[in-house]
Formats: sequence, C-alpha cells, structure tokens
Amino acid sequence: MRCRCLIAVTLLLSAGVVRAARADELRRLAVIAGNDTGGNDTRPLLYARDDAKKVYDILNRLGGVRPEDASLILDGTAHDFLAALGEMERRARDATQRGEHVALFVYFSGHAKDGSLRLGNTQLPLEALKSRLAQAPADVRIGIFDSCRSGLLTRTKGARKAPAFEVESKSARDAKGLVILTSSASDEDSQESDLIGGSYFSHHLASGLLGSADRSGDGRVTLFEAYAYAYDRTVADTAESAAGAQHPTFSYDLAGNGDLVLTDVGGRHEGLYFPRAVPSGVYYLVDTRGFVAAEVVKNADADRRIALAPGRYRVKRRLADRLRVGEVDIARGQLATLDEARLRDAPFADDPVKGAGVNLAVTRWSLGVGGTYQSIFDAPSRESLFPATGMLAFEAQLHNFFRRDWIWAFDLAAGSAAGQVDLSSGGLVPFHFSEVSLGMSMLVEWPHARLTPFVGGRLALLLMNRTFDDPTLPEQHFSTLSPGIVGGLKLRIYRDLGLLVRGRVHYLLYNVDENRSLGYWELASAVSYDL
Amino acid sequence: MTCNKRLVPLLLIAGGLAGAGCGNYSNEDLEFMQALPEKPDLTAVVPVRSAVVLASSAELYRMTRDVVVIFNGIVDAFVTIIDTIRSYSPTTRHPNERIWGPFPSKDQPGWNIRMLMTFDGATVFTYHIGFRPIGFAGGEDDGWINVINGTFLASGGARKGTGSLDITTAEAHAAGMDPGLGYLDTLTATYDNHAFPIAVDLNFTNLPNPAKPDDPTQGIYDFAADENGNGSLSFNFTGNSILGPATDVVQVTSAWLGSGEGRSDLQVVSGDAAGAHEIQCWDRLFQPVYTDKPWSPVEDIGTLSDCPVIPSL
Repeated sequence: MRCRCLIAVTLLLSAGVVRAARADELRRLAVIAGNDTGGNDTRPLLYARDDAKKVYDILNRLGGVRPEDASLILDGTAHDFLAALGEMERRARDATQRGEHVALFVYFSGHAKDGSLRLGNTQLPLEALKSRLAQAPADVRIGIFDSCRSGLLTRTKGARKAPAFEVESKSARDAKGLVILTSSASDEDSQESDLIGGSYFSHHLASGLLGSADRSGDGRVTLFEAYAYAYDRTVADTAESAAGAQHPTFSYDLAGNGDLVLTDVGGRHEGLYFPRAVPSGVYYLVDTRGFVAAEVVKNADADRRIALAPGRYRVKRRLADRLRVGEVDIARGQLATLDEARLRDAPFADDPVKGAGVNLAVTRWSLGVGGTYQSIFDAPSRESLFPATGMLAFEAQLHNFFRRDWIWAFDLAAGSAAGQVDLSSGGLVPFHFSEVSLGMSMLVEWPHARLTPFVGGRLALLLMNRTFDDPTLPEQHFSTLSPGIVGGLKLRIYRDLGLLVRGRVHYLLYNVDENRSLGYWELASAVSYDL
Repeated sequence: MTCNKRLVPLLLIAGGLAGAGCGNYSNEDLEFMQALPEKPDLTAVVPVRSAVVLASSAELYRMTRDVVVIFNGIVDAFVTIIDTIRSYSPTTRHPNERIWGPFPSKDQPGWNIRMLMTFDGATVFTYHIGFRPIGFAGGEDDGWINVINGTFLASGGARKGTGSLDITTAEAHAAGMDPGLGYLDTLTATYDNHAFPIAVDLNFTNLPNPAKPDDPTQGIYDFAADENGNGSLSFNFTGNSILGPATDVVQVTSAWLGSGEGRSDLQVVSGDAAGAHEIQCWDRLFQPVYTDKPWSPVEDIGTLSDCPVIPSL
C-alpha cells in the first residue's frame, strides 16, 4: 500500500444530510474539489481528482444533489473554490428565504500543509474555511476533508478521534449546525493506494455511501454510518503501513438532533444485492479500469445492497488460502444478485487488489516523442569517425513497475549526418553516417507539482553505419552496447502532457582499429503523454 | 524484495553485454583501401567521337585505339582481382597491417586467395596477392604464391601518388594453378597520378601461345595524359607481326590533343622490315590529313605542316 501524503479531504458539507427525512426533502448543494497538486514543495498526488469525481458521482446518483446544485472543481485554484462556494452560499440563502431546508456539502481531496489546503500553487487557510462554513447560510453544513493533517480542523469542540457517537434520528428536520469529517488526525498523513485507485479514507467513505456502511439495513446511509465505516476500514487498512495508522476524525456542532442521511441506496433499482445467504467477509468490486469501485463488508446475519453504477465488475473475496473471484454485470435499472457459488477459486497470484505481499505499485505507461542531439567528446573521433548527429527519438516509459517512482524506459532514436575522413596519408573521404539507437533506462523520479527531476542509468545498443561517395569503398558498420547515465527534468504542461528535457552521458568502447574508450553526450527534448 | 528479483536478470544481461562491439567501422581500413589502384587510375584514354571507329579514320589512329583497348584489357585483368578483394572488409587488422582472406578463390578451384597489405605509417603501402592450396598445413603466412606485388607512395589526396605493381605467374603455373591472366608471364606497371600529367607504364612478357605463335611476346606501353585532354601513348611490340620469318620489333608513338587531332609515328626497329617507318596525322574527326607511308606512296596525302603541334608530355 502506498502512503501518499495526500489527503483528500473531503469536505462535504452540506446539509446533505437528511434528517430522518427522505433525501429529497432537503435542498442539497455541494462543492466538490480535487487537486493533485499542492505547489512546488509537494509531490503530486495521483488520485485526488478521482476521489472528487467519485464523490461527485455518488452525491448526484444517490445523495439527492441535483447536477445543477453541485460544483465539481478539478485542479482548480483557491479562487475557483471560493467562487463556487460563494455561489452555493447564494443559492442556500435564496432557498432558506423561501423556507426550504438546505444542506451544504463541501468535499476536498488534495494537499494540506502548514494549516492551509493547497490547490495548486494557491492556498486556503483551514481556519478561514472552517469559519466560513460555520457561517454558511445553510441549515446543515458538512465538510469532508481528505488531506494530510486535516484533523487540524477538528481540534475544537466536539472533536472525536473515533467513530463512537450516535445522533438521534428522530427529528432530522430540526438539525442545524456544522459537521466536519477529516481523513486523518492533526499529526497524521493521509495515504493513497494505487490498488484501490484513491485515498483510503475517500475510498472507504465512497464504499460506505454506496451501501456498505448501511449498518441498519434500512437502505439509507447516514453521515454517521458512513463515517463509522470509513473510520474502521481506514484504520484497519493503514495500521501496518509504513506511514502508520491513519485515524479519521469527526467534529460536530449541531443544534437539535437528527441523523443526516447522505445516500439513499434503497431507493435505487440498480446495483448489486448480497443476499443473507452469501458468506460473510470482505468483497471487492473491481471496475473495468482495475480499481476497487466498492469494498463491501458482508455480515453473516444480514443482507447488503450496494448501489453500483451500471457496468461490469469483477468480484473478489479473499479467503485464507485462496481467492474467490467472478464477474457480475449490473444493467441499468436492475438489481443484480450475487451468487457466491458462481465465483471460482483462484490463486493469490491472480489477486488484482489488496493481496498481502503483492507489489502495490500500479504500473502505467507514458509515451514521448522528440529530438536528440548526440556528440562524441573526443574531437578527432567526432570529426572523422562518429560525427555529431541529430536524431528523431521515441520513448516509452513504464512507471512503478519495479517500485514506486522507478521508471523502466525504452527508447528508439534514429538519425544521420555527413562527415569526412581525413586520411593520414593525405586526402579526404566524405561519407554519410547514420545511426539507430535502442536504449533501456532505469530511472528514479521525484515528482513535484510541475517539475519532476529524474536520474538513472541507461544501456543503449548503438547501430552505426556509413556509406561513401566512392562506390568502391564497402559500407562500414559498427554496433556496440553503451552504458551511460541520464538526468533530466519533466515539466508538466497539463495533466497528462509534459515537456521533457534530458541529458545523457555515455561510454562507448570503439574496438575496430584499436581499443579506444570514447564518451558522448546527448541532449534531448520531448513531449510526453501519460497513458 | 520483489523489485530486486525482477532486476537481477536485467542487470546480468546488461553487465554481460556492456562493452561488446563489432563491425568493420574503420578509418584505417580506408587508408589501406585508398592506396590500392582503381581502373580509372590506370586506364588509358584516347579521344573518341563514338564507340564505332569509322573505316575512313586514320590507320594509325585506329591502331592506337586498338592498342588502348589491349592496354586497358591488361589493366582490367589484374585490377579486377584487386577490386574483388577490396569489396570486402579486411579479415584481420593489425597495426599498420591488414589481411583480406584467405578466401576460397572462385576462379581457382582448390586454392585460397589472400591479400596482405602493410603501411609504413607515413606514406608507403605495399601489398601482395597470393594463392595457396586450400588445406595447406603450414603457418598462416607460409606457402603463399604471390602473383601480384604492389607498392603505393601516397603524396596527398585520395589515391594520389605513385605506385608500382608487379605480376609474376611463373611460380603459380609451376604449382599447377592458373591465375587467370592468360599467357601473361610477367608484367610491371608503374603509375603516377599525384599531379598532371599522369603517367602509366606497362611492361609485359607473354608466354608463347601455341594457337597464335605470331602474337607479341613482349610489349611496352607508356601512357601519359594531361588535364586538358592531351595525351600520348608509346607502345613497343616484339613478335612476328610483319610477314616474314624474323621476329619484329615495332615501335609506335602516338600523341593527341584534347580536341582529337593527333599524330602517330611508326618505326620497325628490327625484323623483316627493319627501318621502315610511317607518319600519319589526323584531324579532330580522326580523318587523315597527312600520311607518309614510304612502302605505299599511293596512300600519301598532305604535308607535314598539316599535322597538329602537340606539346610533349
């Protein structure tokens, strides 16, 4: 599992909750933000945006938030965030004046550092945000923050570092106040996982909202059910991580009592149903991208209903000695029923997620194309043997295959140049030089918000050839393996698009006329695209 | 760790292969190859207007042209051997030495062919093309019958310099091998192309040809050419080329301008018509403008002043 200091903080605020009333009895407004970057002194997160999109989708599908009442901000700035929040506050004020009950959800997943949320290179002080939420013109405000040390927000009245609380649900319509959930305590990092494709906290929160947290079995997931579920699962999953256990926190300042219903999974007619007879345990529902869409804790004495979006999912149940895996299709508007007997046994080697001892890094590819200029250091050799050459280069990089932030790269370059041999016996022999270079590199990168430096080693197969204007001279060729070192910078231009500048220094042993140790340098620039 | 297990084979492969290099990419090879003569370096050229020689062309022009064909045929025979070898990269490289082969000789079944070339590190190259029976049991440098031996003195510029080349077939014939040079017994060629006028001289001796007993058994060619197309070719034949029992020695000296006009002087040095001579000049279309043929005065035309003035080379 990876421990990314990310955190997604979700702050949802909203009074989305429903009081014991139905979800549709409240006007639900939501501001949802995810930002993978947090400025130059932080390393980019991988899933903050995905976490935000997941929460946005759940609130729209199951949380009673109308699409026009939800604002999704991906990789936006603090200004964008506050502008969206201001718009929702205006709507809340208007609705309140009309006598409507209003719930405002605010969710944020991204970096937090030094008491501020980080949205790219902009900052949003936590205390100021908390103060603004407290004064928001909504009956109930719910903030969910998934980010490192987000527990700073709950170090006040009502803070709990445990899920053990209950709120009476008799008079939800009367509930008013502020609820804040954070993904970690004030002295803890929040962690991401490549295998679940998100932060632990947001992942479990989302799973809970989809129905896994419906402890009461009434088809509705309340704020407190969701929090209790996310707390238990987050602590359990991170207990043995290198970064240490991560403890979500909860803070509430509510006047009146009321359970806040976040999602209404019982009212949906599509999803996956776990009958009571299905064996108890943890089930993973993996989407077609390979990420865990939901993690379901099935108890022995209860059925369970998970409001998954339509699609195909792989179902995995982990036993002590094997896996049970299968597939399930969820059609639009239909509730599929899991038949555990149709799952098949599989070895742990086939475990797509959560396997003990399994490398948690998720591999991904990036492709690049650009130009390279290569030149031998030794001037006589450069002038008459291997002339300086410009080449067109293509590169494919496999990230996180061996371990996180390691890159296994493969490159192909080809180019040509003109040169001439100055014979020691007199005379010049012009020639046309061409080269194909096949390289393999092992690099280590240090991702930051926009600049990612990297260094590593490279082994290149050089295939060099020259032909002569004089037709009586036979074509000459030379091939060798050339080890070298690589260093460079990648500038992220857009989310998946980057500009790469790289330098290489290589050793080349020339051994035809004599053993001659040569070195050459390369400078390259390329445009890269992350798949 | 998992990553270590994955990396181990890659590191082993990389380490094992690093530094391996192969190929024929060599500047020094070029030095050697540029020292070997090419056909253009040794070929004689006379002015021509077309591939067909008109019957009305001057008799000695036609003779000169025929001799040039013979001359170039001799050059072609041995340069082809050199070209064949040169089309390959050297098999063995030592400091200031290259060896091509041994290769099985295509035209000499049962024999290997090899070229050994050395360089003094400054300007002088020497080369030896030899044959040896396939399966020869001696050392790698033993038993070679060198048929072609050459030297080249580089004087600046690709293939610019002076060279000499000696061919001796007697030892090969004695060993039962036909070097593919017909009845050639010995040939000495020298050339100088480092500056104009370039010069190529051939001196050969032939073995008797039982089918053509009157063919020349000895010949000397001296060819020179200037940058402007002026040239000269002097050839001396020894053979029974004139009716009669004696062996004749005929000397012909031809010279021409780049424009095509020329002159030949034929002299029977010895033999059945010793002392006979002929002078003929031709215009730029190779038509005779002056003929002095004492043994056939009816063919005489023009006066000596009709001949072009040709600078000596």
